[in-house]
Amino acid sequence: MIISLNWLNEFVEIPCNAREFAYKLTMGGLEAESIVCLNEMLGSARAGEIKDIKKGNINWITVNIKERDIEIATRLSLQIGDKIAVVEAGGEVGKKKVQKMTFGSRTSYGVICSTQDLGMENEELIKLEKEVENGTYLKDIKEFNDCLITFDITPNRGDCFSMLGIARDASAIFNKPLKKLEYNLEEEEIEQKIKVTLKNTKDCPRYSARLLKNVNIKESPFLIRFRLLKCGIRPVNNIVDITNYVMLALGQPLHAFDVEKLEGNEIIVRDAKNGENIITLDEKERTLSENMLVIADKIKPIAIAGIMGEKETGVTEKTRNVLIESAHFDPVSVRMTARKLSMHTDASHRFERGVDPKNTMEAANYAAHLIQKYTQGHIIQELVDVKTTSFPEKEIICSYNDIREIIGYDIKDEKIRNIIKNLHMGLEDKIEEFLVHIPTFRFDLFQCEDIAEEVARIYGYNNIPSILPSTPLIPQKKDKLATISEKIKDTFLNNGLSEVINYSFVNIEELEKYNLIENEIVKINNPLSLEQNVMRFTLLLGLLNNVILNVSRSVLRVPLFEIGKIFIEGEKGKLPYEPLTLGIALFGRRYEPCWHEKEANFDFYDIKGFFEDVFYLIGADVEYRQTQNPFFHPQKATDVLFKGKTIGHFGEIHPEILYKTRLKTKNAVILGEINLAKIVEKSKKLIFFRHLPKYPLVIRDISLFMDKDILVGEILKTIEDTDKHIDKIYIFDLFTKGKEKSVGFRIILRNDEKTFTDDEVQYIINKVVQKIEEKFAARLRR
Amino acid sequence: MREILEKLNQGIKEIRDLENLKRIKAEYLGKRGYITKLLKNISTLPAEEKKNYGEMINSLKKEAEKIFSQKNEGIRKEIENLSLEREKLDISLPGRRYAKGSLHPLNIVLREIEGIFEGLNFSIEEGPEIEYELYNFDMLNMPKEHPARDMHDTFYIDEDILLRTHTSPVQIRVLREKVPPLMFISPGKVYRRDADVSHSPMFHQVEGMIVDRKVSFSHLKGIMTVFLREFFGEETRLRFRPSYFPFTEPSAEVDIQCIICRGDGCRLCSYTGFLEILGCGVVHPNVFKAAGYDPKIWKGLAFGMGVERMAMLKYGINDIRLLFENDYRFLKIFA
Repeated sequence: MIISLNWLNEFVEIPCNAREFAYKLTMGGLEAESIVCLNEMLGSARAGEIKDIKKGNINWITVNIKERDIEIATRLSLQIGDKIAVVEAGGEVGKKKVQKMTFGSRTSYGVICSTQDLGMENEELIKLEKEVENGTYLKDIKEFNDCLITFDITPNRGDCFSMLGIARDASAIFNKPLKKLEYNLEEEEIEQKIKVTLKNTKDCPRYSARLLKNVNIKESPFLIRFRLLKCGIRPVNNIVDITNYVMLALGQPLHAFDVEKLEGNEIIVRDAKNGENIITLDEKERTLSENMLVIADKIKPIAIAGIMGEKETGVTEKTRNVLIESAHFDPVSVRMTARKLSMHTDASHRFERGVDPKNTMEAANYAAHLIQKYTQGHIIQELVDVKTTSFPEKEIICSYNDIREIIGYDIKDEKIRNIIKNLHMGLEDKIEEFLVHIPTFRFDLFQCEDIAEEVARIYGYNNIPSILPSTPLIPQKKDKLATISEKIKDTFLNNGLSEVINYSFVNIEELEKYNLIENEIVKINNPLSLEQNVMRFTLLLGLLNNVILNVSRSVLRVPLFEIGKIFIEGEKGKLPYEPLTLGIALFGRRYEPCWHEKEANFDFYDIKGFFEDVFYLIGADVEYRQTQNPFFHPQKATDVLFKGKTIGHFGEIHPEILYKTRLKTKNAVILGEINLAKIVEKSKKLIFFRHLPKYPLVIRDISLFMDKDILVGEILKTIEDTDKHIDKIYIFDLFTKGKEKSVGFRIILRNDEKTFTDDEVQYIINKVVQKIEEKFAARLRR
Repeated sequence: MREILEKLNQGIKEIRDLENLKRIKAEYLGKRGYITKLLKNISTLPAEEKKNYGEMINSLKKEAEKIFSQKNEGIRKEIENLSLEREKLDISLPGRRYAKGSLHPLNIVLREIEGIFEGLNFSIEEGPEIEYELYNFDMLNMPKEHPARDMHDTFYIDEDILLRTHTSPVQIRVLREKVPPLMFISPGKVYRRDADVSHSPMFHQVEGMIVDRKVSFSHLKGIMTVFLREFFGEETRLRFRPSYFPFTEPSAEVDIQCIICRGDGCRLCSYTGFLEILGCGVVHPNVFKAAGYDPKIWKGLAFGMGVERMAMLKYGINDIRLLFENDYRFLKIFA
């Protein structure tokens, strides 16, 4: 909502400058977003009269600014006699210098000012009144000595979408009385009546209207046009402009019908019929349904109530008689209809937030007065005003103590009383409580808490002290999953992985492209774009895209991880399953370039190591099984099994997937993810203390040749199971030769009872060797 | 005796290594060494001479041992000095650092926020990101026809299931599941249909709640002041101004003095001198009623802030999209 201080001044006295006014209102709850003071923007702009126009590719106009004529080049089409705002070369407007400009052989000695030059939102030509003397500096014209303040009005304050509304709050904040609009109506007795019938009094409890005859449709006077422009509304013609002007002034949206286009002298407010069509003023055809309210004549709808009028019955240049509608519509009804039709207008914006039902007549009368004044129309005597209720004021019972308790500060009774009264509410003191009469323009006050806020905001939030509460100390338990994922993050950070956060939504086509469709997908009904149309059920796509982006930007080393939720469709009507999932992506160089490590690329065992760290941290026992997942390389990837169920997979991505990424790289992309929620839930890390070895540990190395396809993991298990004295096994050497590989095991033996004898050690080692040789057809390397 | 020692000294004079010294030492003091042999000769002497002879040879032996140990020490030091000379390192070469990763800037900020509130005895509560419309709106005093829903452009999954537009539904869940008094924050991802330089369709929020018998707006000011001064610095100037949230009454918006211009007005603060940082208020009685609490007995305070905004201010990031692009070079800045 943009307000003009000049205009506002007609409703309440403004006792300070624009900046202070904006600040005070902001601190009172009406947030001023921006301030534009026109007088700071005017520079040397002056009134000029167009004396001559030479049309061409560029139009050359001759403008008189009293002491001389100047030539200005423009693309605008203007008329001789128009009075416009111009700036001569060498002068300034909108804080910018104006210079001479040469077009071919001719020179333009100035520019024409638009509203945008003055800092307004819309770009429009400034057309001045003919009476303004040529050469007058704009800064000497009253309407240009004005500041515009844009307020961001919260949705509860529907009453503030007008000069009157802002003035009411300002009057409370500055403790100044509201001024009353003064005007006369000269009514004429003419025998023409419009009958109004309300068929749905719930959604339209009041319909006021004024009939005017013999109006003269033309351009509005400067004051009205310019004030509309200041508030961001484009002028159309005098009738339409006046309806908008009254809306901005009083907050009541109006609509003007061309009476001669109505069928029968009758207005019917009714529910739309299913499938009924209407072409609205914006020339769009709209299909209505039965829970929408329309204004209709005898046969057809002529407006969607509170939203927009019909094109055919709207005001045109030929209109002679108009009916000004000033009605009250139910906020919910207007909101639902506007939402269904995807329409949003200045009128619907106000009706949705609540318009004062007691102000319809005042608005109709004010509009009639302005029409009479500016279009020479005749006001028909009888005012139409159909209503089914007198709109009684709501009452709220509250006590001074309640208010003090909510605010937490000892504001005196007297002060509270004054604030409430200054906000134009009635107050009746009872024995221990008081009664507040809520004016009909306030749609946001229901209970004592609301009154407390009113008191607090006018009292000033910054005048209320800051105190720390003394709530009891409650032992706070930390969630196990959250604690573990923080630990995992720390481990990863210390091991060189960087954390990413990807969007929770992904593109279903991309999932399909990379063979990632696995689960039931949670679809978004109204995605922002097709790139983000389903909820992710894997972190892999996001991580793959992170690798692709980084590689395309020539990043040579990409070690990443993400911990976030994935989404798996549940039962219809129930919430999806959202397990916390851990994903890793590795690509490119294992090390930052350095002098002490040989250059090497990340491979399967890097990602396995990272995951092993996680399992160790959680205390989870997992198994590995070759993966069937089509996203992964069939040989260089694994499924992770926990308690017999697959809870994740990791490894190199399938060459086919790599091909589809169109990455120009020979390096492997290594990805993986595990369902963290599932393993954390069923695992427990136990730490048992075991005393340090009392007798010396014995270390023995054995190397064996075996078929290269034998899984070393199986051998490790076999060795572990061979003897209880085997404490640890390391693999210290591994190489392949032809169809065979050689594996070196370092076995650590521990005996807590005594020192091993050579024979005992040899016995255990022999047993190990024999078992491996038998089970895996391996042979000892001598 | 003197002769023997003289000869010995002569013999080791040119020796520069421990090996040869050892060899010579064996020649004198070894099992078959010269001095050892002399000592063995004692058996051939008459008894009265034995004592003198023995003493003499023994002192000779001690003297010899001393010479050898001195020489030994001398050579060892010499060798050590030589090797100290030779074993030069380029101490200017960078050390062997194990690669370090970086926490995402949003989580750095989140950890900081959580840390401050944990220090104030708040617990951390989480909830689902896909929620019932009932929890996200209706029970928070935002029925379907409420214009405040316009402030939350919502992604829908189903007719009454949506992507939560704030973490407030967690508050409803906690109110229903736990017993007051309560003090908790609920951090997490939230979603709104909006995308530009300062809006992301997915972003992070931290919301908090206190429920107790006697808490008021002035307490809310107290907690917010403590938190914001801890996060932005002790000197930070704050301003509380009235605002509107359907789930609180009274409601406030808290602004901090602009961190760039310190209140003079600049582009960052749109020349207001202040930056909007969080919203808060006294819990609306309708929220308590919906959660089954008697608003006459229980009072509540609630607040909420956007993590992206805090992070962008903290690090001077000007485009929210950078936070979700995950360029490794961007992430590494925060290591």
